[in-house]
Amino acid sequence: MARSNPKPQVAGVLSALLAGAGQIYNGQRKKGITYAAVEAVFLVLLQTALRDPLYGLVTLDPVGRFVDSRHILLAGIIASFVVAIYVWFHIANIVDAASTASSIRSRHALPEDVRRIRTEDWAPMRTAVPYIYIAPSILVAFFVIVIPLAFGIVLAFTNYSLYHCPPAGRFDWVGLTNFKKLLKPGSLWQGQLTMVLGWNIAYALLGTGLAFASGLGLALILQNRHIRFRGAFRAILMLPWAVPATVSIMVFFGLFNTTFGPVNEILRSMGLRAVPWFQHRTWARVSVLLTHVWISTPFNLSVISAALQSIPDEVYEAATVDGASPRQSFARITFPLLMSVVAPILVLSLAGNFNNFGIIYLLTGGGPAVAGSRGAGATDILMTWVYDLGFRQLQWSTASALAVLVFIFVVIFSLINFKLSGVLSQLKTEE
Amino acid sequence: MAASNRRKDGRRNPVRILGIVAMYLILAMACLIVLYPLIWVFSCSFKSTAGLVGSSLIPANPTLANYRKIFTDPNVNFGLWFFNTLKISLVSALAALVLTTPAAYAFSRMRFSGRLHTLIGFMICQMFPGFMAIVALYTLLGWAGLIDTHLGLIILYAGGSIPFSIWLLKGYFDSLPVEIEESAMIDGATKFQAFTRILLPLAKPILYVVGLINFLGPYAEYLLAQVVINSGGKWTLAMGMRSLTVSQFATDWPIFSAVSVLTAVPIVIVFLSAEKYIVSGLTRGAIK
Repeated sequence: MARSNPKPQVAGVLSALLAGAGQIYNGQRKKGITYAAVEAVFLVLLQTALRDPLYGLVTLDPVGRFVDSRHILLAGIIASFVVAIYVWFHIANIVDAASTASSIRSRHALPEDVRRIRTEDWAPMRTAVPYIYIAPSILVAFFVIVIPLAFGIVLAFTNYSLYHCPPAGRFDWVGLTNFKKLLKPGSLWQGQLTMVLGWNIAYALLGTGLAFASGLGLALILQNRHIRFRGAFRAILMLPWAVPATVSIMVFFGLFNTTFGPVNEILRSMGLRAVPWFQHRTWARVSVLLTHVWISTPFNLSVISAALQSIPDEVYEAATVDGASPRQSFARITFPLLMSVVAPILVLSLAGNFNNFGIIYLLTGGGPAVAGSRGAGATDILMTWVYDLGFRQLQWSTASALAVLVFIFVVIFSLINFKLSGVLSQLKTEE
Repeated sequence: MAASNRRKDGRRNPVRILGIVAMYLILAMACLIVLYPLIWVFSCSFKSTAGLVGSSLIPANPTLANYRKIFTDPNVNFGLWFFNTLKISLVSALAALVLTTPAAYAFSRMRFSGRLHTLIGFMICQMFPGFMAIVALYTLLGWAGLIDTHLGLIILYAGGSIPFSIWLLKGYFDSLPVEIEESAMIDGATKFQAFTRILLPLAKPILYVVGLINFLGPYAEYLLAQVVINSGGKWTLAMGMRSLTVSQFATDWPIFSAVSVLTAVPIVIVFLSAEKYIVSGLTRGAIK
């Protein structure tokens, strides 16, 4: 059976037809039989446990013991992941057969090498070691993150809503209907989307920018050697980070409250007018931003301080020698060096703030309401609107379609970030 | 050259003095803004529920009635909420550590097929809006009979933090020298022994940080808790506090204040005592 001169193409084609066949052709009998057994098990599963879920995923019809549309969909997603994992294995098996064949050919002159490849090189236990380490994490992440996200994506292509709601009712595939509804120019939905998206981007940019600016200002002051009690000031300024954000937001809900909140009372005592914090769209947005800056400044302060300390003193000394004024050395040295260090963190927190649910949900609840809207209020960002559409209005499929749009937005943004910060290229060099 | 610099700095220049005064003013202002909400809520917790809470930082007739109420009133069961929250956060943090440490070790020290794609996959997972998962999580938990249970919530917290924790741990492991483990393995230690006996003790700081982050995250989390938990006896602190703020009655505010003070104080103490480690743990990967 074992060829002394196996052809890579033949080995590959054999493995493509039946997993392990190419390996047996190469003379790796144990490996080949194991691979073939894996394929056999998969084929049996395909005919038994996987059949109903896969069928259900295509039609969304009740099948076997799956009656609830949501269960049909979930089972179908899990089954298709099993299929995907097998496909990955099958492709790896073809690549392995072809590459083993060519390495046997290339070392044809040394029979002992060929024997080593055929017998010793396959150590299933050693190959399995890393997978044993990562298996628990992967398995949990699979069920808690991957499957639910996949479910959320496919839900966007169904009509799951109050009127098509399991267990009493059932929902079906509707293709791109939800996306068309949301994006149709001139429609009420599209107008809402534009308004919410506009404020969402403004909130992410302004919130991140203001917190960064205040963090930078305070960090520079605390860096100044002429200021005393810097440790004490720093300790006080870090406090908002230590308080759980949920608590802080609820406290600000009380501070800005128009009936009993102290902010308006203080404004009045200063001879100013009371501000309708949560009732007027602009003031509601201001209250969200103020709360955001209060909560996020300490994080920026600490990151910027760490970055400032990483800039060596010699750079400043050299600049002073060359006659640079403090302003020049900040604009030409400190700021560019600082940005090169904190840019990735800044962009990452920008992406995080884009979906910063807590502040808006707990402070304004997305309000105040906007006349003639589909539930989106003046401070609603995409995520809070999505949540409201789903959990309050029970328009699950529309909410999911919106969430998919948010995701596309964030991914484009983050890919640019990763490209800029070089995370991907760093990973590739590790391989 | 250094001497001339010092002379320049020490010069009593009026512009410079004005600048320093301005800096002190900004710092004082910032401290006031930071401290006012905290002191206000602290003082509110001693105010009477009968009058208006107002803006004053010193309660007119300080009373401990609010604190008494949150430990005795069955509707504001602070003790139970605190116990529930502590249990959920601690178990979530431990579970996250046990799950992710071996995985991070494998991602840092071993090369296997699928490694790069899994790491990138984790990164992509973090970009998804959390809402997309909630409907499915609710359905999955319902299927497994875990709706309205603390176990269900713990699984979501511990599972949801896996990508972030693995990235953080992997980054730290990468920065530790591999030579010590290699020499131990030459001396006959297995890979598992190198991991548990050599790497883990070296990585203690980051283990604390990851554990702490996974403890602090669930401690005041509201959204998932509210989706999973229904019955009042299983409420967490965030849910309890929310119930006190949405009632819109100003009279509940002192009660809410008492709950938030007792909720925040332990966390503030823990956070401030570990701040140095948290900051360096979070920024170590980014700032080299």
